[in-house]
Amino acid sequence: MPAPVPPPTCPSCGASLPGGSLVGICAACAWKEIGIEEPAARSPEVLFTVPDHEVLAEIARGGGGIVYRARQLQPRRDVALKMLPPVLLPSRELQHRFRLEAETIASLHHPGILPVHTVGEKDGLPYFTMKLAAGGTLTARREQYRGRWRDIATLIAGLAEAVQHAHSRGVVHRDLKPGNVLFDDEGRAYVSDFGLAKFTTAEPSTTRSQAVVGTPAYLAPEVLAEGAGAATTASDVYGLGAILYELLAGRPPFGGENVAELLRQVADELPRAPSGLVRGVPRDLEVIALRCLEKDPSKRLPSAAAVAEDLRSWLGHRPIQARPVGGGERLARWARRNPALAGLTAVLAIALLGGAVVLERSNRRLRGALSQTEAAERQAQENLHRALLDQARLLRTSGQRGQRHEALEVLGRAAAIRPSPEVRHEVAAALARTDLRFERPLRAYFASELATVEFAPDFQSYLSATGQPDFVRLDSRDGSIVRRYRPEGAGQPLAFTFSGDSRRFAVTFADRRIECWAVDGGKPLWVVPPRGQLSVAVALHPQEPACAWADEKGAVRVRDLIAGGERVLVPPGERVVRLRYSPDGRRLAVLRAREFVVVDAVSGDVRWNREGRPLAVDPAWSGDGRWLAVAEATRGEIEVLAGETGRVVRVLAGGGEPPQLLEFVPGRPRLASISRNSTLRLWEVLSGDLLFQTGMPPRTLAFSPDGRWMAGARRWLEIGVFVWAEEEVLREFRGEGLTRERGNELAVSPDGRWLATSDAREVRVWDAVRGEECARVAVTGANWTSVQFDPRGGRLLYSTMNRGVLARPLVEVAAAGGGTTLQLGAEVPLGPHRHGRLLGFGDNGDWYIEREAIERVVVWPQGDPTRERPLAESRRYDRPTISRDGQYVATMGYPEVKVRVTHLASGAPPVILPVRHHAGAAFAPDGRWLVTGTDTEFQTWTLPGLKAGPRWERPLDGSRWGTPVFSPDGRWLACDRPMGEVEVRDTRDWSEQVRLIPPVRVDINSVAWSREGDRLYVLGTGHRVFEWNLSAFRRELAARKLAW
Amino acid sequence: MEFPTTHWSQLAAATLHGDQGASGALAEFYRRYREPVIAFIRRRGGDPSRAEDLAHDFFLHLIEKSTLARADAAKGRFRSFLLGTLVRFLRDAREREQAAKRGGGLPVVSLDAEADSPLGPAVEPVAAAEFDREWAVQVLALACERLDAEFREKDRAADFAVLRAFLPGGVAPPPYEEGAARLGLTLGAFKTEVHRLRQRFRGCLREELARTVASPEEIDGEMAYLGRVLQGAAGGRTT
Repeated sequence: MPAPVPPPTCPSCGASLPGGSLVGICAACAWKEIGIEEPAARSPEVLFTVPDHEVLAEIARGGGGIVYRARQLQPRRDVALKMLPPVLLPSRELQHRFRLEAETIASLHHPGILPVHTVGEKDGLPYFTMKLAAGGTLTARREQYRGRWRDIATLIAGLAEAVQHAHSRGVVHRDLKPGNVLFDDEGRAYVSDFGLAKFTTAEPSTTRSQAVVGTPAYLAPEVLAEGAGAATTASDVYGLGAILYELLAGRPPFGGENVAELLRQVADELPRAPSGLVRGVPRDLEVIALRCLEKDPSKRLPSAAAVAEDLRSWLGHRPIQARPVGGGERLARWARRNPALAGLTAVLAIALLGGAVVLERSNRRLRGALSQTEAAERQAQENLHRALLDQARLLRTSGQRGQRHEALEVLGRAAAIRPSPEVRHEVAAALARTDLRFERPLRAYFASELATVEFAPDFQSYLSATGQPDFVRLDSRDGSIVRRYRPEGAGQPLAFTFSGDSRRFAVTFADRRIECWAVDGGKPLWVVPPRGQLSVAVALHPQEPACAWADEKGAVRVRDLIAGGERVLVPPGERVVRLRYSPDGRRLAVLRAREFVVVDAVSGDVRWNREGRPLAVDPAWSGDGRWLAVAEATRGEIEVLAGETGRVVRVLAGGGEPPQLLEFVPGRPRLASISRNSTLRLWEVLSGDLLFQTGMPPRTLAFSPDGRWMAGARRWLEIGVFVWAEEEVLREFRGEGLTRERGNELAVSPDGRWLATSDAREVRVWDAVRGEECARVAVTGANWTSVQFDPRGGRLLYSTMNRGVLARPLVEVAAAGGGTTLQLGAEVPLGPHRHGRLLGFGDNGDWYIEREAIERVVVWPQGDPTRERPLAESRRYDRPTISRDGQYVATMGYPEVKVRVTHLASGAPPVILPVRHHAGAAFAPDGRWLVTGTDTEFQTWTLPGLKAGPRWERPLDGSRWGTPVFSPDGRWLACDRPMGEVEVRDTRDWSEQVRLIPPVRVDINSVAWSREGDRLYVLGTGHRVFEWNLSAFRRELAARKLAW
Repeated sequence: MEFPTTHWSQLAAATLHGDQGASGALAEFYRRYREPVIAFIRRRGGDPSRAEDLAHDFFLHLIEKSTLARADAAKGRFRSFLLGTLVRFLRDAREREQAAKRGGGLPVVSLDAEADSPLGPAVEPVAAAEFDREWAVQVLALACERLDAEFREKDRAADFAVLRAFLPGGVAPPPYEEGAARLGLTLGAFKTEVHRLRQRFRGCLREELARTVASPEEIDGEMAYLGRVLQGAAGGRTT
C-alpha cells in the first residue's frame, strides 16, 4: 500500500494548494495580491464609491432596488443613486439592456418625470443616478391630500401627463404606485423609475421565468397574471387609477390580509366605490378612478392622456369622458374573457407563500451567435414598436374619441420603426372606425344656462338668443351675424324650431308666447299670445307655410301662416309636450305626458299610437321618414319606431342615462344621442351597435345634409362644428331590416353593379354603388338558398333543392332620387326537374348543378338544361365544389368528415385528403391549388398531385369551418376569421398581407370579391352586408408608406 | 405592503413553485456552495462519503423546510447565514443519531424556530474560521470559473490556458516573454493583456461576492474579511 501523497504546497507561502478550477493558483497568495491592488481606504462617511460619485447613505430599499444618497463630484451636487440589489444580480446580457433602457429613460424630458443623470454599473450591479427628490414619496404625503379633491385631481393630472409623455416615446412604467411618486423641496411631484420594473425581474425573452415585482395592490391584473413583460400603457392607466383611488379613499383599492388574499382580490373583485368609504368624494373623480381600475384593459380609459384630460375637465367644470360601467356586468364580462387568470393567480399565490414576489429561474444562457449590442438595440426598437401597437389597439377598442385619428397617428410612428403586417392590420381596423374631430368654434350668446341654439336643417345658419329679447341668426361657416330679429314682446327666447325647408322658424319665449317668422322677415308672421301655465308645443310644416301648435286645452291647431286661417287638427286632451312633423309633412307626431300618437297631418286621423311607458324629449324623424326615435323617460332607452306603423324596430340601451337630444344622421341608418350627463353616442340603428361615444354637453345637436358635419358643444358655453371621419374603407349596406337567419350565399353581378345575398327564407338584391337594398324575393321551404347572377348578364338566378333553379330578369328603372335602381321581373323556372341547386359556372360557360335526388353533380352545357349530362357522384350533404376548368370536383361530406377530390377526365378513384375536421374548400381560378379551411386551420394543396402545401392557423371561434375565397384573378385569397375578421393572403407565397378587422362583431357567413378584386363583400348573420374598399385602403396605406 | 427580496428567498420561492427552472436553480446553488459545506463537515470528523451524504441532506433540508425563505430577515452575509444553519443542522443530526441509538423518542428541535432568533446560532470561532477559509477559496474558484467562461464565450479558451498562470496567486508563473511568444504578442501588449486579466479577475471576484451580500457596500468588507481569513491560514501553516 503506497504512502499517501502529501498535498502540494505553495512555494511562496507554504499553504496547501487547492485543486479543481484553482489548480496552479495559491488562494492565500491570490487574496493577498488582490488585497494589495484594492484601492486605499476612504473616509468613513463614504459607504462605497462608483465612478464620479461617493455613496453616502441608504435612503430606501425595496423590491426594485436600493436607493442611496450620493455625492456627485463633477459637477458637485447631491443626487439619488439607485442600484439593483445584489440579490437580483442580472446576466451580462441583461446588464447591457438595462443600460440601453436606462439611457432611453434618461432621454425623457418632462417636468413631471424625475430626471436621470447617469447610468452605470459597479461590481456587476447596474445603477443610475437621478435628481434627489428630498420631499419624500406620495406614500408619506397621502394624509396631506385627504379631502383636498382639487389638489388630488391636479396632482394626478400632472402625473398622467408625465406618463403620457413616456408612453409617446415607447416607455411603459410598469410599476406606478405612491412610492414611485416623489416630491422635491418645492413640493413638485415627479414620477420616478420609469420602465425599470422589468429589470428587477428576469426578462421573459431571455429566460422562461415570468416574475412579478412590486406591490400587488397597485399592479394591474394582467401584470400579476403574466408578469412585468405583459405591462402595457393600459397597465399604467391602471396604476394611475390606483393612486387616484388611494388618495380619494384613503386606502389602496385592494388590501388583503395576506398576499394570496390580495392577489385574489385584484383578480376577482371590484374595488369599493371611494364614496362608500369617505364622505364627499366627487362623483366624477370616482368614476375616473374606477374606469382606470377596470380588470379588462380595453375598458379602461384609453390612455394616460385621457386620464389627464378628464381630470383637467373636472377641474374646469367640464364634463368628463369616463363613463361608469355597471359593476356586475363589468366583472362578468372580464371573467368571461380571462378564465385562465384566476388559476394563474392561485399559482402565484402559492409561489408567494415564502414571502417573495420575485420568482427567478436561474438562467443566464442566451449565448446567441449575434452580437449582444445589436440584439439589444433591435430589441429596444422592437419594444417601442410593440408598445405603439398596443397603444393603437387600446385606442381603437376604447370606442371613444381618438379610436381612429389618434390610433392612426400612433401607428404612423410604429410604421416608421418597422412597417410590419400588424401595423397594416391595425391601420385597417382604425380606418374602419368613425371618429369625431373638432373643426371650429362658433359664436353663441349663452346669457342664460337654458338658452339653446338651433341649426337650420340646411346647416347654413343657426339661431341664438342674445340675452336680450332680440335674437340673431348666424352664419354656420364663420359665426358672423346674418340677421338680427326684434320680437314683438318682452321676455327672452327659450327655444327655436325650424321648418324642414329652413325658410321659417318659430320661437317660444319665457312668457310662453310663440312667434313664427320667415327667416328673412322683419317682423313675425304670426304671434300666439301667452296662454296660462301650459307648455308651448309648436311645429312648422316642413314645406308649407303652416304652423301646428297646442292650445291650453291640449288641442292641436294648425294655422295657415300666410292666409291666416286656423283649424283644430287633434281634439283636446292631455297636455301636449312636443309636436314634430315628419320630413314629408304628411304626418305629425304628438307627444303628450302619457301618450304618443302619430296623426295624419291633413285629416288628423290617428295613424298609430303608442301607450305605455312615458316618453321624454323631442322625438326625431329620420330624413326619409322611415323611422321615428323617441326616448323612454325612466331608463333612458331609445326606441326606434317604424314611422308608418309605430312598430318597434330597435331598442337602444342608453347606458342608464336619459338622452336629452336625438338626431338621425342624414343618409345613413345611424342615430346620435346626447345624454343629460353629457355623453354623445352614435348608434347603428338596425344592428343596435354602439359605434362611438365621447363627452359632449347637451346643448345642441345637428347634422349637415350630407351627414359629414355636426354641430355640438365642446364645453357647456362653447358650441362648434365637428367633422366626422370619412368612412371610405368599410361601409355597411343599408338594408330594410335584419333577420335572425344565417346567411347562405353572396354573389356579385358581372358588371359589379349589383349584389345578391341569400338565406333560407329570402334573396335580397343590393345596389353595390349606393350601398342599399333594392329588391327582395321570398323563398319558401328551403334550408339552403343558392344565389348567382347569370354570367351573360340580365338575370338573377336562385335555387333551392326543392324548387330547382329559378331566374328573374333584372330590370333597371329610374330611381326616386335620380339614377337608376333595380326591379326584378317575373320568376322563370329553368330546366325540367324543379329540383337541384346551382353550384357555379365553368370558364367555358357550363353550369354545374347539384341534384340530390340522383346523387349527382350534373352539367348544363352553356347553361342549356336540355343537354344536361352527369358529371360526378355527389351524395347528400356532400357540398361539392368544382374547379373553374371543370377538371376537379371536391366533396366535403357531412356528417362524416371526408374531403374527396376527383379528377374527372382521368376517371381515377377520388383522393381522400387528410383533413380532420369539416371543411370549406375553394379551387384557385387557374386550377393550380385547392385550399381547404377547417375551424382551426387553412391548408393548401397543389394540383395535380394534391400534395400538402403551406398551411396556417385559424383561431377557433365556434364557427363551422373556414371559408377560403379566391379573388377572380387568383392573386389574393380571403379567409374568414373569428369576430368578423377577414385575412387577405398573397397566393404567390400565401403570406398574410392584411387582416380586416371590423368595428363591430359580425358573424361571417359568406365572402365575395368584386370582379376587379378591389372590393371585398361580407355577408353576416342577420343579412348584414359589409363592403371593404381595398383600393381606398391601399391608398391610405400608400400615404403611410405601408403599401403591400 | 412591501416584499423583501433576497437571492436566497427567490431561490426558495422558485423551488416552491416546483418546476424545472427551480430544480435548475437548486442544482446551481448546490454546485456553488457544496465545497465549503463538505469541507466543514469533513473537518469536524467522519469519513468523506458520510460528509457528502450529510451535505446533501443539509441542502435538501434547506429546501424542504423552506429555511432559505426565512433568511429574508437575515440582512447580511449569506455566508454567515449558511454557516449558522449548517451548525444547527449538524448538531440536530448528531442528536437524532444518538436518540436513535438510545431507542428514539427524543423530540427533534425545530431548526426553523431557532432560525428566527435574532441572535442567530452560536458557532465556535474556530469552526467558523475553517468554514470561512473554505468559503474564500470557493469564491475564488467561482471567480476563476467565471473568467474561464468569459474567455470561452469569446472563443479564447486557448488564450486563457496561457494567461491563467498569470492570475493573482499563480504558482511559479512562466516568464512574461514566454507568455507573449505563445500568444504571438509583443511583450508590451502581453503585459497590458495580463493587467486586464487581473482587473477582470478582481471584478469577477467582486461580482461573486455581490451574490452573497444584501447591500453593495458590504462587498468591500467581505473582500477584506475573506482576504484576512486566508492570510491567517497561510500564516498559521508556515509558522
